[in-house]
Amino acid sequence: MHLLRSTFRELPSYLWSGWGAICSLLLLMAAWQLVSEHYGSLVLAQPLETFTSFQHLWNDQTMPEALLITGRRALLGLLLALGLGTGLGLLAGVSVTAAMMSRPLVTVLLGMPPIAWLVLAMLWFGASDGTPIFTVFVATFPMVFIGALQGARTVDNQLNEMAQTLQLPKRMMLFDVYLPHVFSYLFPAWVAALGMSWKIVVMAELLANQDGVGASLAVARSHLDSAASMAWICAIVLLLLGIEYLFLEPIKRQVERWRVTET
Amino acid sequence: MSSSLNTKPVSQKGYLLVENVEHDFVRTQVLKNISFSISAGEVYALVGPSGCGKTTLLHLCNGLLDLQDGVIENTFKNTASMFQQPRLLPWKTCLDNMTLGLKARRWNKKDRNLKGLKLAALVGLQPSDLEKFPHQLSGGMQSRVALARVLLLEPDLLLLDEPFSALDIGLKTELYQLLLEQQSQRDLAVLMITHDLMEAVRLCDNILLMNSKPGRIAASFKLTRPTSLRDDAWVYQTTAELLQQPIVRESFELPPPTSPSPVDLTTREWSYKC
Repeated sequence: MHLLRSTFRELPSYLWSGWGAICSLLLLMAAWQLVSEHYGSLVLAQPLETFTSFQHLWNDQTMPEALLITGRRALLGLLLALGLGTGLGLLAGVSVTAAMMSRPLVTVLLGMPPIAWLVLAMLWFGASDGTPIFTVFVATFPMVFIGALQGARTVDNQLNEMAQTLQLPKRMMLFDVYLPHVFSYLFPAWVAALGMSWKIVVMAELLANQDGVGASLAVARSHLDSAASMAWICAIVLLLLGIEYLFLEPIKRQVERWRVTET
Repeated sequence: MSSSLNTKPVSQKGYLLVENVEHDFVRTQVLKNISFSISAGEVYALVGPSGCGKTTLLHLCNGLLDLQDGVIENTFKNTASMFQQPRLLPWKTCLDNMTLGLKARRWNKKDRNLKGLKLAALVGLQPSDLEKFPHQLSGGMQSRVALARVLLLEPDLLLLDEPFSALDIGLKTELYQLLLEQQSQRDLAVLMITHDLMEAVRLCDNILLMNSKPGRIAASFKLTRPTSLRDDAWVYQTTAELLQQPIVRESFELPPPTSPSPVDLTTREWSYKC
């Protein structure tokens, strides 16, 4: 509760600091305009064409619906990965043997390209929701798992001893000593997993599904509709930026306030 | 070891009795036949070379290690420990760190913050420091927070493992002074580890000299002059006297004393037992 309140208190000044970011985005837009004027609209639609297409797709409900479908898939896969990855990672971190055994397995999982998982998922789940959900899950699971494992393995024994001599009850040990430490490892892993899930789900849909943002992107491509393709890409990027900077970054600032070193 | 050292103190206020304590790590004996006792208001120093088992002994006293052999009886109601490092929780503000022990004793937030604020002024912490996180404070300030965290619990036995060893000499003296004020006001018993003999001479009533391999108590020195009357000259003189004792030199593996002794050994205000 306290966290929420202080997050909101600092929101205006944080948003104000976004002008710089908007400037550089506008510069990118200018470059985009130049390139599309040079190569023509078929290769790269002009920003204005893209926005008209964006508006059109938004107004006839195609885009909101697709975003909802995709969002639901990404979120389901992500939640599965967060739940299982955190739980199993913490368990593995508690025991040295489990940590040693799981590390090479996770390295293999991390090294496996998501596209390889996608091929397998298409064999197993076909064109159903299962394919993107599974691919998201399996691609983000190892990141979360490693984060939780590291967090649990590195609990500071010195602080532990200190807490023991102060006779902290079990509940306080958990909430004041262990969890904040573990969370400092988990939270960055969760954030990374969220960004990853959004990219993976679009890729999976593009190849495997009939609906959702990825599928719409595939359709736009097959119609050689450069403006619609760019509109979809903009939607994907905007949503990711929005989540990252309006939602995660302010939380991160609050949660990790104790870690920021003053310069 | 003299048996008179082992008699149970009769103090009403509590005592710490350590009797025939032995401790092994795997197959190396680290502590052998350790016996001593501390009553309320007494300040004891454990002095000895590095690796002689001082910290192990302290951890046995504060329960961080399980006792293997011997007896440790602690009838003090409230034992608190300080470590070599401040050991503050990095994700809590200094005030929350200070009052952690009170929180564990189910004080409500308002009361514990009030008590914390009062003590903070005593140990030289500004109210503005209390809102900061540990990494925003200097090492000296962090040590003050750690000291306050312990004093807030109003302990009657304090176990110190060189808590200020990383600080400069001025700060160290200041913090020890703070500690001693509390000690005399509240009849606090203190057992402190140090490998600085002069520090022990300045602060303690009794000095337990330890030998290594295995750790055992080689001698126990009793300083008769009250702590408040010890000036620098006395401290230097007494430290020099102690350092001339063969048993001290042996323990720290110093070469035999230079002769003739540079200090006059006739005025001594201490006695010792082996």
